[in-house]
Amino acid sequence: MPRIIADFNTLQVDPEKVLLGTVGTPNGDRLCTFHSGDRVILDGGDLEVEATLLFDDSLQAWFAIPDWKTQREIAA
Amino acid sequence: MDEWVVRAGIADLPRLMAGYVRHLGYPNQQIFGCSVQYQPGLSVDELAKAGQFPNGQISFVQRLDLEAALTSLGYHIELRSTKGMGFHHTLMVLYNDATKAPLTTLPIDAAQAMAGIFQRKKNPFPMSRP
Repeated sequence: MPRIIADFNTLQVDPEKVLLGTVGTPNGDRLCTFHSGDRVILDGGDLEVEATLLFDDSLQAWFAIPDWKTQREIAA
Repeated sequence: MDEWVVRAGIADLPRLMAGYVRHLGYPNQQIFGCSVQYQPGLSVDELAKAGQFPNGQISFVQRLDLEAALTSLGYHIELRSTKGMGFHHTLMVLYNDATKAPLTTLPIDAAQAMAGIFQRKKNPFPMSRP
């Protein structure tokens, strides 16, 4: 499963999903080969979790919906 | 007065750069930056609780130290109160010139400087998710 570097701080804005980036920025454009529904591992540095990618057409933004049952702490 | 800036997890270079995104709650404004908890006078632990972070660790720094580190590189910071949990602010990095133009991507030198001054400790209030 692909690993994507993610910052869980964006959950402070929307607790349901992690904002990965918007189109036209490096954070968004790095995901151009993915599709909504793809499964990935979000690498949060000290925490990782499996997630499902979601592309929002209206916002032109990539999100990831974490499956919190799979969260694991990473030794930092 | 203490002015702590608190983030979930490890404020390392990859996470700071990945977390530097547009705040989508303001469709008519270009607000780019990192999500943080910030409220002058509150302690690091109080801010960590307000942020409801899932991470087992938190990172924190004094605002003045952050400003000093970035000013030396030619940047300016703005902590703007934006929609979000607790005392959510967006930490914006701007060019420190007459334009004060906001940056839509966090430059590597700024990210390195920030990563080097954040302190780290165990999150006293980790929020478990359903």
